[in-house]
Formats: sequence, C-alpha cells, structure tokens
Amino acid sequence: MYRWLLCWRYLRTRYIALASIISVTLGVATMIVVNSVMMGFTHEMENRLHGILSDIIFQSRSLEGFPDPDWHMEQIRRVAGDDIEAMTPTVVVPGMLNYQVGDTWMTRPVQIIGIDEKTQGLVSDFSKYLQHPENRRQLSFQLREGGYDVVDHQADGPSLPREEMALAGWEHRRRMARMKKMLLEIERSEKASEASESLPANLQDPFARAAPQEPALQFDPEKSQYTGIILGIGLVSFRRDGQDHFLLLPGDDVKLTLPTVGTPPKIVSDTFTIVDIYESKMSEYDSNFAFVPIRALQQLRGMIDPSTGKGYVNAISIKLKPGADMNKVRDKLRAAFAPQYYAIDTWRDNQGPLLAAVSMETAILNVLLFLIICVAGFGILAIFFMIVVEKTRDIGILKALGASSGGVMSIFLGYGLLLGMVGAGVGLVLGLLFIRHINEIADLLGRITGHRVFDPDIYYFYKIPTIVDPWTVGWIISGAMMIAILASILPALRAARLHPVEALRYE
Amino acid sequence: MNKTFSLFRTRQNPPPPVSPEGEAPAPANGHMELAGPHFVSSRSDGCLHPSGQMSDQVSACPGILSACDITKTYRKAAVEIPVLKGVNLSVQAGEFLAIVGQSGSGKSTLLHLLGLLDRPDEGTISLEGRRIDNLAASARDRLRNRTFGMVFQFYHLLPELSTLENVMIPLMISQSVWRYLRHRRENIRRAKEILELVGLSHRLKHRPRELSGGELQRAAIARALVNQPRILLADEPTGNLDPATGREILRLIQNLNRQVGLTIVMVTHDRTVAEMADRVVSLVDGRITHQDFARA
Repeated sequence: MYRWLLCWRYLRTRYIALASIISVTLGVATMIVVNSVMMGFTHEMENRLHGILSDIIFQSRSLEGFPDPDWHMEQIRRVAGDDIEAMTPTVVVPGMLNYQVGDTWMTRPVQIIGIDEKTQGLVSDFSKYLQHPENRRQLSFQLREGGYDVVDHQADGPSLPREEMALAGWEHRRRMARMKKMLLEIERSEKASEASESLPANLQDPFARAAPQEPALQFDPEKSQYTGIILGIGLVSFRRDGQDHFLLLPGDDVKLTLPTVGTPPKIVSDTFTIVDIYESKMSEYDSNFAFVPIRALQQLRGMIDPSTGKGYVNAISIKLKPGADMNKVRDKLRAAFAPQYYAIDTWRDNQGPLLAAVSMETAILNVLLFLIICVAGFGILAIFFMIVVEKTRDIGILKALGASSGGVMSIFLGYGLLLGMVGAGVGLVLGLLFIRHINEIADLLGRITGHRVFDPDIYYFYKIPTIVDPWTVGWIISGAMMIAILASILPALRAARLHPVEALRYE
Repeated sequence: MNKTFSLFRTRQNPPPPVSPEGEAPAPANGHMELAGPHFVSSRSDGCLHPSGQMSDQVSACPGILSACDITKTYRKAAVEIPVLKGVNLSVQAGEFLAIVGQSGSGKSTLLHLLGLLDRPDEGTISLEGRRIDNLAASARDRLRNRTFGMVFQFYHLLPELSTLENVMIPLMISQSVWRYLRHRRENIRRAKEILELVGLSHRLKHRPRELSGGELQRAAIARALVNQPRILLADEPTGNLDPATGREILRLIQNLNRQVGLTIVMVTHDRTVAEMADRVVSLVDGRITHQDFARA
C-alpha cells in the first residue's frame, strides 16, 4: 500500500518528472497523428486504385492485344466462373491529345482506353468518377444537354464550386459553334488584320476559339457530335488555390493521335467530342486517361478482323464476387493461360511498388518516432536517478521500517508506470484532438506561415483523410508505457540495492 | 493512560493481549517460526562462545535481545576502520537501557546491528535466544517492521506524507493492499490513538515541514510504536532538540517503559540523558567498558 501512496505523492509533488515525460507525450501524439494520416491516405489511395483497376487484370503482353475477347471470357469463366461477378474487355494504347486553347494548339500524351460502355461500370468504380449524374447511373458516350456537377460530388467537405461546369453540355457546344461560325464569316468578309480588333468581347473568353473544326459541309456542330470521349480532369483543367479552372468542357472537340496495329505502326488521328470528365482523384490517372468507346478505338487502330468482325483487345478486367480469394483466382488463371502471352495480376500486384513504398514510408516514420520516445526514455532514466539520489534517506527510512528491497523497487517501477500512463494518456488525448481538428490546424498553419501545409492543388483531396486504428493506438500507448517502465528499472534497482545504514547517513 | 495498556505487551503479562480491534496483533511469537540455528545458551549473558570459554566481558542475565562478540569494521577506500571490537550486551524484557559513548565510539552502529539494519562481521544477535542476524532478508524485514521500533536523531519522517500517513507507513508495509484497504478505518484509528498517546492528535494533517522538532520526534515515536513492537531502539532521540523539549521526549519514552513495559534501548552521548534509563552501559573504543545500574 505504501508503494502506491508514495508513487502517487511523488507524481503529484515532482513536477520535474512530469517535464521529463513531455517528450513521451509529444512522441505518442505525433505517432498517433502520423499513423492516422498515413493510414487515411493509404486507405484512400487503395480504394481509388482498386476502384480504377478492378480486382484482376487479364492483360496481353503485346500492344497488339489478343483476338476474340468473348472466347477468352468464356475460358476465364470456365476456369474460375464461380468467383467471377463481371468482366469487361478494354483496349489500351498510348497516344496524343491535341486541343486548342485560344490560338494555340496544345499536345498532351495520354493513355487511350477503349471501354465497353455497358459493362465498364460493373467491374470498377469507373462511373463514380464521372461528372454527370446520368452517366454515373449508366455511362453513355452521347453528349448530355447539361446538368453537369458544379459542386464536386466526391468532396466530403466544403469545396469551391466549378462555375464553368454549369455551362457544359450541348448548350456550350452550340454557343461555341455559333461563335466559330461568326468568326469565320467575319474573317471571310474583312479578310485579315482587323479581325482580332473587331472581336474584343470574344477574346475575353478563353473558349472563344476553342474547338475549331474544319468547315465540313455535312457536319453541323450545333446539332451533332463526334465520337464521345471522357478525359481525365487533369488533362482539361488546372487547379489554383483550390479552384479548378477548365480549359475544355464537355461539348468541346479534341483530336486524338495514335498508332495502328501492324509493323511498323502507322499514325492515325480522329476528332472526338468530350462528353464527360473523369476524376478519380489520383493525379497520375486523372492527367493521363482518355476513355473512348472500345468499338471506335478498335476501328481506328485496325483491330477488327475483317473476316469475322471480331475485335482485338488488350485486356480483360475482372471483378470477383465479394469474399472470393483474389490471389487464388489469379493463380488458377495463371495456370490456365500461357504466361508468355498473358499477364494476369491482381490490382495489388499491379500497384505493388506504390503500395510497398507507402507502407515502407509508414514503417520508417514509425521507427523514427519510436526512437524519439526512446530518447524520452533516457530523459526519464536521468530524472529518476536524480530522484532516487534525492530520496536516498527516505529509502533508508522505509527499509528501517521493514520495507523489503522489492517493495522499494516497486515504488519506483510503479512511479515509472504512472508517469508512462500520464504521458501516454495526455499524448493520446492530444493526438486524437489533433486528428479531429487536423484540417483547421493545417489551415491555421498555412495562414501563419503563408505556405500551404496541405495543398489541394497536389492531392486532389479537399480534406486530409485520417483513420484512427484502435490497434495501432493501443500498440503506441503500450510501447510508450513499456519504455517508461524500462527507463525506471535501473534507478529502481539502485534504490532497492541501497544499504539502509548508508542511506540513513546520507545527507 | 489506561487504554495504552491494551496497546502494548506488559512486563507482567508476557502473552500479548488481543488488540482492541480484535485483530490478531503483530504476533509476539512471530519470530518463533523463523528458521536459524538455535544457540542454546550455556552462559549467563546468553552467548555461546565459539571456543566454549567464558567471555571476559561483563555478563548479564540472558535477555530478550542479546549481542555476542559483535565486531564490525567499515572500509573506507582501502582503510579499515574497526568500529566494534567484540561487544557483548544483553537487554532484559521490559528494561530501559541506555548506551553511552562518545561520537564515533560505535554506539549507533551497535544500535543498527541490534535493529537488523546491518549485519555484524562476527558475532551473533539473538532475540529471545534465537539467532536473528543471519536470517533471510524477508525475515529481517518482518522483524524490523513488527518487533523493533526505530527512532532516529533526525526524526526521518517522509516529507511527502502527512503526520498521520507517516505514522501509518509501518502498517502499510506489514499489510497487503487489500488487507490494508479492508482494515483502513481500524488502521487509522490505531494511528490516531498512538498519536494521541504521544500528544500529537492536533497535527494529523500537517506535513513534517510544518512541525517543530519536538513534534517531529513525537511523530517518529508514534510511527515506531504503531505496529506494537516489542523493543524500541532510539538513536540519540534528543540529540537535535533543545534541553526542555528533549526532556519532554525523554519523559515520554520513560513513560512508555514504566507504564506500558516496553523494552527500550537508547543510544546517547549525553550522560544526563542516560540518567533517565534503568541501566546505563558505556561504549568506549568499540567495547562495553562500564555497566551502571542507575536505578538498580
């Protein structure tokens, strides 16, 4: 009993010891915050990667692809039919995107993906990332009249509205086409230099000269569209201070240039009309992907066998039934198909290096922060030694009164445990409070330093994602308390070994 | 003072009375269970000399506590300082014994050895004829806690605790947490009774730094008595007090001996202080040289 009484009294009367565990507190708080944020990011990223990639990707090793996707899907279903929920064929080819901003033609490299508009939405979260509510329900490559999202539907907090999106759709297309027609007429009538001067109103609008088309007699851009294309939001806009500025809108036309099949490949190009914008919030994908109807891409690349009318595809995306073992299905498929032609991977295999890098980063941060707590442990060790020296006489008294060496030792071990509990407990509260208000704190820090802590220009999230995992928190807390106890072992042993007579004589 | 009789074993009634709480008191025969070689005393001072010869030291009747041929040497940086050079001493039950000596004569060392705070280099300490100096640490802890009460020159109260808590420390040490919590009221009552006995019942909540020297020593005495010891060991109990307060403390100690029958061994350098005792022995240069029955 005297042990607990004395621990408690020492805790309440030695503020220097409380100072020594501030570093434990800060270490615990930082570890909790870092782990939660890292876990939030990882979770968010995995969700998105998984959503973009589907469960298993059955790919050809060649850009030429393999023929007859229906036969392949039949074979896949024969091998692992019980676990498969949906499949969709895709054609993937690198290409170039050209569009006009003002007077200038811009060229961007893109990954062109031909998708089946009926089944693509079944295998992945693809449709969730589109900007028109109807397209999210059922994808269509036909331009919509209007009604594109002005407010980001994926934002889980306040986001700046995208005013330009209110104009998108057929209305935008018609306006652009009329302007273009007017421009051509004026050019024709005035023939040259004053043209720019006479159109000041149009010059103010960056889209005034967008989407120029060759004046095709039979094609009226006010009434009809080219083949639909869905572009990543990173290709058509840029973000400044959290506000998206669009260079292109649904309704504008762009050109795609890509290689055909065959050796050597020839270069073909075609015009497409933007029908929607794809925003997965993974900047790598958002600034690379251009989705077109699979049939149109196959035709453009010459991937259709003229004798059978069946197209070639590069890949089949497979979605498994809930609860199915991804790796087992992958292994079955790997066993069934010739590995020199087909690469069969789960989404995790596909993104292995990225996921491994993130978990490595988390591990290293944890090691570093834990080392900080260990350093704090040495602080506790030093302070405890001082307290034992200061309390030498009291230890002698306790022994003279019959306290055992073990009892004296447990006073200081218990004191260490109490300090660890206080330190870790305060750290826990601080950490959880920090996580709860992390966005406000980031904003505040940004305002004070003038440097954005969490830049939505980079991350495409409006808020910092956090996940508090009770297990992780438990490990952190018990680790910190362990260190506090370990640090108090040596001083406690010293206290236990003190000789009562010498301790009593100590002044 | 009547009720104090129930708190202590008296000279007249060797079997200990049941304490007023009805709880078994710190067992008077607790040390009986203790293992250890039993020296059957063949001599009047209770010592069995290794050679079998009679010691040439002054002998007394075998007592409750006895020291035989105690030697103790301290080492300070390779220099050996012999402090006790063969001390024989026997304390009778119910006796008030004073040990007088100059500072450095080894009287505190002797008291520490008697109170099991240290081990003699040679010789034995016996409690009622049973050797106790070579017991295991846990048994020694138990004896220090229950059989001996210690009072020091510098009071040695724990500064973080109140007077009452300081007095209760020996109870806390002897009881497990659960037992202590179960008997908390009883423990507090006992501590309060003892504090009343030493005249400190108005200072229960005060911290040691708020007490005067005399009050500190009273609290220390109360702490020494709370576990109903059989022997009170006092190391210069008045050494740090002014003469008037010192006399009060001495009178308190004397009363404990006279009225309750507590066995007391007191160490002092002051002859006038020693006069209060039943018997005075002198310790000079590590040996008992003179026995003086002040009240014989």
